[in-house]
Amino acid sequence: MVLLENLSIPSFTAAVRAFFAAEGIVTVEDFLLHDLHKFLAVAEQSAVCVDVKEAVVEALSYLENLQEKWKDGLGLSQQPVGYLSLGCESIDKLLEGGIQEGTLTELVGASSTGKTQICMQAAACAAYNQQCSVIYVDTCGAFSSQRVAHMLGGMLGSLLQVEEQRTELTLSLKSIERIAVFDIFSLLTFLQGTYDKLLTESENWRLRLLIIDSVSSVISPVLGGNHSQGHALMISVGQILKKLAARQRLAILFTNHTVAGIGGQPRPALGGSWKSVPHTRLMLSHDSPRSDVYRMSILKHTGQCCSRQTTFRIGRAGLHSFDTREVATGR
Amino acid sequence: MATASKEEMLQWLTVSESARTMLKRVVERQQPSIAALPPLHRVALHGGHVLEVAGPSGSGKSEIMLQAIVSCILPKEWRGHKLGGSEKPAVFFDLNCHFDMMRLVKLLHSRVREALGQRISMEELSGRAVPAWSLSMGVDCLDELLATSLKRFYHKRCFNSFGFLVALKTIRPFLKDVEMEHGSSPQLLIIDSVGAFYWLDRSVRSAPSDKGRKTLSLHSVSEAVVRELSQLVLTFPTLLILATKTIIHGDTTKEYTNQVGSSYIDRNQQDEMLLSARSSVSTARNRKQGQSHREYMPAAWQGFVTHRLLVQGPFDSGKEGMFFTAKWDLPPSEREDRFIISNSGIELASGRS
Repeated sequence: MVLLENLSIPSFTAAVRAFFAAEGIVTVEDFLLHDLHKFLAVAEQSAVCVDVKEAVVEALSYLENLQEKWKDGLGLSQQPVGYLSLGCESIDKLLEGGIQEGTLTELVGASSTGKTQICMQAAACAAYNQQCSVIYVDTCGAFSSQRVAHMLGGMLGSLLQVEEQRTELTLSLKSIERIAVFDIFSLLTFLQGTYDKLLTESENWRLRLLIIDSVSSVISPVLGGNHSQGHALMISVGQILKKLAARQRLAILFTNHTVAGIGGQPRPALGGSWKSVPHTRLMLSHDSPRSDVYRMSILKHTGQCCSRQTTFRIGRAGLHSFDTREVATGR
Repeated sequence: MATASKEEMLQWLTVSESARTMLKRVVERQQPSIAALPPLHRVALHGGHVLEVAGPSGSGKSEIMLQAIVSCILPKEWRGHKLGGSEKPAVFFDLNCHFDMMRLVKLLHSRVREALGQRISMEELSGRAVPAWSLSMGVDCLDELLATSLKRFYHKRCFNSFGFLVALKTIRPFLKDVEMEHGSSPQLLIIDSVGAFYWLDRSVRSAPSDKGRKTLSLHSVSEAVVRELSQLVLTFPTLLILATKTIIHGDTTKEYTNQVGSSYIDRNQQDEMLLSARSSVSTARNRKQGQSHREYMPAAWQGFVTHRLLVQGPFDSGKEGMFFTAKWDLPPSEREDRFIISNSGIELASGRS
């Protein structure tokens, strides 16, 4: 609730304020919910008519400047679209380049299907290849800097190259920032703080990827019971993530677990209201507990219409493409 | 007092316009606004109508909106080829932040190339991270056509209901500028999607306020939005409003199995319970394959909507691939159309009635 008088509009004098209050408008929300035509018609008959009209116009233009401007299609189509590779060829091929900047990508899967591994690989790949900063929000304590270091080494190939590029690798590791968050309120505070920080110092801080592992572990505890506040908190998280992605051109990757669905097929947790938050949803599964082959399929994608899938392998040095034909020929 | 009423009566009796001008005005307004593309082809829509396309997440609603935009912004014909567009500006409120510009450009390309009789190869359409203009290889001046068409499209993102209300209250001068620049008033106003701020608005509670102030609630926000939109339609009578709405289905057949790392609480069912606890209007049950949905938008919005289309999908038909279904709810119809979404847009599959 923001009081209108705090907007520091020059023509909002005491008399104008009294007139507004008499009509029941004290906060910005009241002002927006009110029928301005009727309000101005009533103002016509009062002594402060001119001031009131000016105040209305100034308030509307002030509020309009806080929002995004109208953009035309030509300008929008000429904005470059960047993709962040996930570090594995088969996954990048499935996603036609990787995670798109400015979108939210969700990884859905039961326990130990490779979600955290993909997150760490994405962080390593972005930090080294794109030389950008990465924020890793860890809610389950599964982040391991040793594993990320192995993945960085794995991207180079040989130990000799690792020795040669030791400084670059150290810099990449330093640009991945890990934040531990264990409840939804700290998550919201952190995301809002990141947004405010990006507004003021976006030039120095080359943040391009935000990873949250896992978002469902902080949201699930608040959903439940007969109140709707849990859903409101969940959608607030979704909104702040969308704002970060859209306004700051961040790529956002987060994980979700699965629950039982129709016919025993697992489906994503967090229910139907959360379905409309991510742009892309990827379902991960594991063929059998002893193999190291994992499967990824597309549940939802704004640019593609059918559900395609691919396989990959998780090894000591990170994720690799895996071609199912290799197994058939017995190589 | 008597003279005033006599003047009023005389004024009431004088002719304000001839039948010819009246018919011209009404018939012009009733011209079908958007090209009859599937799945909107069964009902003629024109200015002043409000169409709500409702369906679960991923059922093709945004795709229908993109198709409507393409028909609106393309010109009627170009260099002798019929394109079938309306050549009018379109305005898009992105409340979900899911708008994909690349998809719109691809659709524009395929529509134009189809009209020119050229086959479009898969490689050209699946190109990404390439500047849009490089897609128009081989045809001169296609860039110019696409540029003029895209200039007629306007997009804005809103992150909460109050931002949306600010945008609606300040849109009139903007639309007048658009009208002057393009020579015709905007034909389409698209809102994607109306239910985006439902949970946020529902949790907003105003403190017990002094008398005279409106209580802040979902219903008052919805009423304000409907009021602004209706006033906008009065100023721009040819404006057709399209809105998408996400439906949350509740499964009537449930099976719980033991799964490692899964939870037993059915979130969909819980969503339904919370939605129905507050919905004051009659619940609309659409039983299809054992699924039902409930109306969660407040009464103000439901009264504002004049047409409703229900879409469902995707369904897997095996050999034919994924298909979607569309059924008119308002005006009610028993016919169900099947359509598929390909790289070049929406195509009608074999429908059943």
